[in-house]
Amino acid sequence: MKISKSFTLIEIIIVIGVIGMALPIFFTIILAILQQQTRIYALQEIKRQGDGIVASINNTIKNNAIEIYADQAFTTAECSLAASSYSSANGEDFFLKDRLGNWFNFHLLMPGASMASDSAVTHISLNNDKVTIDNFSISCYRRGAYTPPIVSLNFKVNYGSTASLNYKTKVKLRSY
Amino acid sequence: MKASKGFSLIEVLVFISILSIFFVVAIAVVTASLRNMKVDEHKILAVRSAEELLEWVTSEKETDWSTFTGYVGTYCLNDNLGVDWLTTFTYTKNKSGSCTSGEFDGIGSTSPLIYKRQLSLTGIGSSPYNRIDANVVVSWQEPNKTYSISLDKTFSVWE
Repeated sequence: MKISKSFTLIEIIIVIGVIGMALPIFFTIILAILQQQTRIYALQEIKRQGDGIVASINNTIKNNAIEIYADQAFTTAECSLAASSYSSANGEDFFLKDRLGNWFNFHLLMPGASMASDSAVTHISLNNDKVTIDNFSISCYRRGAYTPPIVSLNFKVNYGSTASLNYKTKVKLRSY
Repeated sequence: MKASKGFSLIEVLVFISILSIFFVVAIAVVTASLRNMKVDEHKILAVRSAEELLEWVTSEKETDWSTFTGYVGTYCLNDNLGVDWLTTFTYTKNKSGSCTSGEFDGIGSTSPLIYKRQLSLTGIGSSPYNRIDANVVVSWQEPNKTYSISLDKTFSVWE
């Protein structure tokens, strides 16, 4: 009886060569899919949170704010005269007064960190820790004596360095 | 007893052709899904830039209604949006009139440069209007197709 023949060196080399060509292609495709999914996830996350922040700030200011001050004690009124404007780089010195005479504001906690909505009794972080926020600024403008002041806000939402979106909004003080 | 025989040529050919059909189908599915994911990514950015424009139009309306009614018309806004109507048109790719068929400049010159964005403001009734309908269309080019999304909003002086 003849002994069963094994593979020759050439056959093994060819097989390994074919596998060696196929595996990198396979992993490249897998990597491309994963990268694409990460990008989409990042975009969805920053859009969701950015939209949420804009909606929440818009509603809060529109429904509650009546006056704007540069300090928590309401000594320096801003945007109360016609054609006056005022801006604050990180929101630390931009306070809004509500109908009950309490203050609230929106500010950046740390550069490139998160945004918060504060009042005397509450502290609410507006974004979760998956995203960071920077380039925040808040300002106000009053055109004439018979129109309410308008608050404008800018900020940028980032998901690491994968994706970022700019947000800009203006809201009129309805209860003025 | 005869030594165990290997596969015949026909068997090997059939096996290889079945395997190659499988791989071709698999690669076609993967590339199609990658392309769809790319379209999804671009759609998120397109919706965002359309919403950004509507938000900006809203802010112009909030600032002053009577000035706002003077802006009725069609605009191609492929660049950044300035703090107000006038500064917005100091950007090079923002202009009055419709976007031309080829104008896929990208929004605000940020990558990917495949978008164009058009705004139409239509006054309802007769001037001075107390209602204006806004329509934003963002179109973008994929390698084999042009996609577009459209958002509408109505503004009225009584709001």
